[in-house]
This record gives sequence, structure tokens and C-alpha cells, in this order.
Amino acid sequence: MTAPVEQHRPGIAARHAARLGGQIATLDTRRLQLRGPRIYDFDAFAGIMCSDRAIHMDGPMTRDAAWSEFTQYVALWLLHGHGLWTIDAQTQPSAGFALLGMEYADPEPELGLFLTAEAEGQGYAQEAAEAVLTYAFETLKWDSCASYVAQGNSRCIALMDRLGAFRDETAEAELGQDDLCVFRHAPRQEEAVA
Amino acid sequence: MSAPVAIPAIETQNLRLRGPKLSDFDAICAYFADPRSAFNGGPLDAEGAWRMLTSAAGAWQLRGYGLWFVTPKDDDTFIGFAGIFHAFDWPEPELGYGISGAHERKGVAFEAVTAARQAAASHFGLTRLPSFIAPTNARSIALATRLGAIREDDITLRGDTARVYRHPEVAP
Repeated sequence: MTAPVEQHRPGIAARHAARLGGQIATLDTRRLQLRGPRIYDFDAFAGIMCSDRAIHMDGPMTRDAAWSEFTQYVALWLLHGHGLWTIDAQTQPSAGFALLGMEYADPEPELGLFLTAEAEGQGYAQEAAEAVLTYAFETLKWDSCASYVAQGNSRCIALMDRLGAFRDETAEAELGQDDLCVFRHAPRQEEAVA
Repeated sequence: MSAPVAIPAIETQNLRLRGPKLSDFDAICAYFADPRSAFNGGPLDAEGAWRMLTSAAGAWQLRGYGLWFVTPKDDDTFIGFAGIFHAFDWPEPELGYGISGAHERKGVAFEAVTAARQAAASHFGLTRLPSFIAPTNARSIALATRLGAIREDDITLRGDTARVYRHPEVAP
């Protein structure tokens, strides 16, 4: 069931939301554009989180819980200056989402990726992740960033390998959750020197 | 370059209403640790309070409206909130409010809610908001009545009866 709060209602408030969202950095890649989420992206987000696609991310969840996650991730822009991007692909608007996030219990910020089923298998996740990591290291000046990946999430683990992330066993031990891998991203050499 | 877009800040005689900030978190934890927060979804632990803060901040980004955080005019400390609250399972946005126990006196709530109601109309065109109030929340019912809100038919929210107090039309 969709709720009144998730409906786009044109008007003064929607215009204000568009202008607030427009201040979020837009990242362009070869085939993708990452931009500030708008309320009408929620349907795609819920499509991921309320399905088996979220099985490695505490899902599938109710639409209500997905709304709570969506607002939390978007809120980070205001509170921390980083947060959730919507991924528009050449072939598909709202193809997925990329996140520089921090959940309440997280010891440090994390990179997360959520793709719709239609967007999978085309290298979009890697392309988006590389753009977001560049933003994290070059614009936000982070020297490191984690990804928390469920042990059974083989697609995501393969992506971490392609991104050049390495398992951080110290962080895993500190986290103390047997089924969760911590992958660490670090600036590439030339980025670190620059 | 145009100026950055911000959540509008509202000043009243004694108060300032502004957007949520990360530095409000401790005060929000204290607010929701108090059993008095039961009418606003409390009491909550720190993680629950974090969800309240992020919900408030996220609403502004997604809907363009939300709750203002209330502070004394001369001190940027969170003492409560007033503004537009629109939960996932709400039938429509409402004028919501809550002022911490230590500051609930001297017409603080009346002053904050009056300003928020006016700002909802002036800034966002929301001119006739309801407030959803638990039948046992006598203080809130008294405030809504003092603000000129008129009772409509009750509704059910999260399995409980809620009274609907519709505020009078506010000119933008």
C-alpha cells in the first residue's frame, strides 16, 4: 500500500524540496548520473527493500520500514553532509541508489549500493561506486571508507574485489558479527599523493 | 550563483524555530528519554531518538516541509519542536508539537505553535492543518482549543483513537 506521505504533490513545498535536493552534489559517470533523491524515487527504493533483493540488508522489509530507511539516508545530507544518491542510468531513471551512510550503531561511514533488478548485470554498481569513492576521497577528504557486506552476498563480495577493496579483519573483530564482512576502501595511490 | 537554499528560520518574541541539526542530538535524546514524550512516540532510547532526528531532517529534504526545532531566541539549544509532521501511516500532514518539560510554561508552546502554523501557511501553502491528539492528552487538547482549532470526527492512528482538531484557515 502506498501512503499519502510518499505521493508527489506539486506546489510550494515540493518546489522547496526540489531546491534543497538540488544542492546535493551531482556525480556524472560515463553512463550514469548520481543526484539528490526526490520523493518519487521512493517507489524504486521500496521495490528493492521490500523484495528478496534486500535479503542481505535486513530485508525484505515493510514499505513503512523502507520509508524510514529512505528518509534516514536522505537526512544524512543535512546532518552529516553526505548521504544517499539516486542513480539515473542512460536507459533507466531511478535505476538504483548509492550511499555514503552511517547507521546509528556504525563505527564509521560506509559505502552502500542498491540496484533495481532491471539495472543489474551491466556494471552500473561498479561505475557508481567508483564515482562515490572518488567523491569521498577527493571532495570529502576521507582517508578511508568501509562497506559492510553479508557473508552470503557473493555478488557484492565480487564487486568489492573489482573495486580493489580489502577485507579488514581488525574492524570485523571489533564489530563482532560472525556473518558480516567489513571491506575497506582506500584512496588509490595517485589520489593519496595528490 | 544563487544563495544556498535553507530551511526557513522563524523568529518570535522569545523563540527561534529552525531546521534540525546534528548538534541537537543530545537534547533530543533527553526529550525522548522523558516519559512525558509518550504522546510524541516516546519514550525512546538513543537509537530511537536518532531515528526521530533523521526522520525530521529527511522530511524537509523529501517533502520540502517538516518540523522546526524550537530554541530560546538567545540560546541555540533545542527545547522542543513545532511544525508539519507527516508520518508514513498518517492520512495527511498535521501540525505537530512538543515542548520539553523544563520549558513547558509561560506560553512557550502557544508561541511556538502559533508561529509554526503561520509559517506552514506562508512558506508552504498549508493553510488548514489538523492536529491529531490522543484523547488523554489534556494539555495538548487545551492548547489546540486555545489556538482556535475545532474538533472533527475521531480517526484511528496505529490502532488507537485520535482526536482531530482542525485549525482555522490561516492567510498565507
